[in-house]
Amino acid sequence: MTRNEEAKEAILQRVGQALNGGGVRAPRKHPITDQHYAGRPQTDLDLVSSFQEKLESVGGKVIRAQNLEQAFNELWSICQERGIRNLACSDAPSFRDLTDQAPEGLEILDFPHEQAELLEAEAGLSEAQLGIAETGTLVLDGEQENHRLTSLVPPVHIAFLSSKNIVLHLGEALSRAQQARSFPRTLTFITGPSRTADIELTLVVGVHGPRELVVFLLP
Amino acid sequence: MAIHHLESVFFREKVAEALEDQTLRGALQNATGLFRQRRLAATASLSDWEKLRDQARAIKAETLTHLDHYLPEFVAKAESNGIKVHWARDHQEACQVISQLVSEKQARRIVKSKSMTTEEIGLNHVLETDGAEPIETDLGEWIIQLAGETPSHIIVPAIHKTKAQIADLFVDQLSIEPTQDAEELTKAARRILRHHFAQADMGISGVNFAIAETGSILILENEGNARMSTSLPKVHLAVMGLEKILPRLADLEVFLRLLPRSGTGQHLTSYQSILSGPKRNPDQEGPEELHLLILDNGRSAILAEEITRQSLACIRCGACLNACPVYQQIGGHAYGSVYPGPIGAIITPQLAGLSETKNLPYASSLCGACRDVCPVKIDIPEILLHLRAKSVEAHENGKEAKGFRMWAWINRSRFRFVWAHRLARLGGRIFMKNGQPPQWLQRRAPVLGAWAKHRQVPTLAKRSFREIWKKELSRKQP
Ligand code: SF4
Repeated sequence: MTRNEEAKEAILQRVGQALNGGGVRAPRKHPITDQHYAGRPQTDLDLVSSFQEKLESVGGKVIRAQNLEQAFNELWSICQERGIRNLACSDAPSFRDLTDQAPEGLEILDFPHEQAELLEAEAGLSEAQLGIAETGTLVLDGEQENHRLTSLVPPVHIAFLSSKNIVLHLGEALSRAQQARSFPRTLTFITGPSRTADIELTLVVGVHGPRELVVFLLP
Repeated sequence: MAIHHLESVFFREKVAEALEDQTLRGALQNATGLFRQRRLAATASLSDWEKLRDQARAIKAETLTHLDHYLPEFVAKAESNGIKVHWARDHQEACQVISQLVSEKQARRIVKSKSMTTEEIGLNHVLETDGAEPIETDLGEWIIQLAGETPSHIIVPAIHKTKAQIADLFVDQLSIEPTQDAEELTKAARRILRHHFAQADMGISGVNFAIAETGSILILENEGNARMSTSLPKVHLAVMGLEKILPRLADLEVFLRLLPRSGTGQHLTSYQSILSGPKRNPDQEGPEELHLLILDNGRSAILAEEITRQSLACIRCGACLNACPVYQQIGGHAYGSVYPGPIGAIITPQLAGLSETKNLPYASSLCGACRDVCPVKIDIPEILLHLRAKSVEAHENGKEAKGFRMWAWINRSRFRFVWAHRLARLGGRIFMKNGQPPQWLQRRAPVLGAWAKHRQVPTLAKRSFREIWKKELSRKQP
């Protein structure tokens, strides 16, 4: 037996002994039988405005767009306003071949990226597969899109989200992920920019992740 | 089983030291007060907070009572997801396993995101001895590492350090331009740590929850350093205590509502990463290998009794620290363990044994504030009393035990009772001065001396009630 097998067996035996030594145990039964977890928001909540309000309350920006074309136009002007010179895109289909559309002076960094390139990128672009109205949260699903680095490494993260994909609460988002054909290897929940208060409790935004989060809400 | 760098035997000395430190006490007042306020506001945002706590408690109780089912279920699922699971019976074995993995992967630079379990086993020390370079990347933890200190709060590890001290530290160790601005200091940290993230051969993280049903681990954070540590390096190692399991993915709904509200007063922290395996086709990012170390180190023994078992339900939110009138005064270092505050006072003795930690169960006024705020309703005072009883039992022949046996013997006989009182009265009249026993007696009986140090020893009345009754009252007409 290898050391690891030995350790596994010993630990499981200890656990079993500890639990069986103390008399009769209640039978195994999950305590939440009706799947109704406490703390859910009211069902008549307006999904889109609640999502926006919650996300803005933690420092995220929300821009509503009528269609993809309008969203991209907004995006280009945001990049120009802030002097963003390059944009690292995820591999989502809607971000293919953006180079032709992008204004002059904005370089499109197509997926996949070299690490060095990503570390230099001034903004990252991804989709979000779901939004959560309860908390203003974006849910990024690794099965749909390689999102881990574009949404994290550059100092500005821009995400496209369809209003149709905003669900009411955390539980719904979790169960959607579970209903997918294969459960995602990476599921990332994002609620606002990166933050810390480790120095005398002073809130500073943008420590290791993005200091700015901009969400384009599409129909 | 043991806890690395355990200094709880010096509890009294450390308390005295902390009480003298006015800067520390100011910082503690500020921080704990602010967190209490924020927690209250955040819990008020939900109408059924109490029900949520009950559900969390019930889910944890179910999991721990049947851990012999849920733990293997989790591991089987995690392994089928491609996670390589390692087991460690105690802290030494854990360090050995990790050392070996580090040398196999020829990892030199290792970025770490916050993990109390790795502090419990003293991992950084071992890695450094091996010639590797572990770098804490949570801002607070990094400050502490640069200063060569230990964390003093579960959620804000560097709570005891002022901005000026941190600025000096950065100027000194990182050669940055002097600044007193938290934003500038944070920027410097971002710049330097990015360099480390880019170069790291391995990332080590903790685990907040492990889901049996899906074989996933969840890491919750605000800064993004855990995402960096688990996404950029080729190898990711997560370290968890065996109690971190939840049965279902859906259970996260409860814990994601509870944990941030209780800890920082946020409705949700900036990031949650639910990771269920290493990079696989067609993924183009993420670590090539995902390792998970499951640690016992004394936890399985805590499962045996129902009363102690609940200690393993802790989700490390830090609310009990902020609520505790003792912690508010003495801070985290006084507890001499990686686990401070009320949760530390129950966990440290159970993991490391009572012999070196017997002061900790007494570091409480039993006011119950910790129990009232605990999101998983751990009855901390109950466990403290249980540990006190154990510690007294273990010292059957201690002075206190002897004293009480003597007291019981005297009180069992009327004759002895009466004469003991007469003697005490007489002795008191002759020897006591201003409510203080004489020096020689204090020296001979240090217990009395210690007790009298901050108190007046009461003198007995000239006559006992029994005597007054006998001579006067019993003959009076009603
Ligand atoms: S004991 Fe309860 S309040 Fe204290 S850290 Fe653990 S979960 Fe939070």
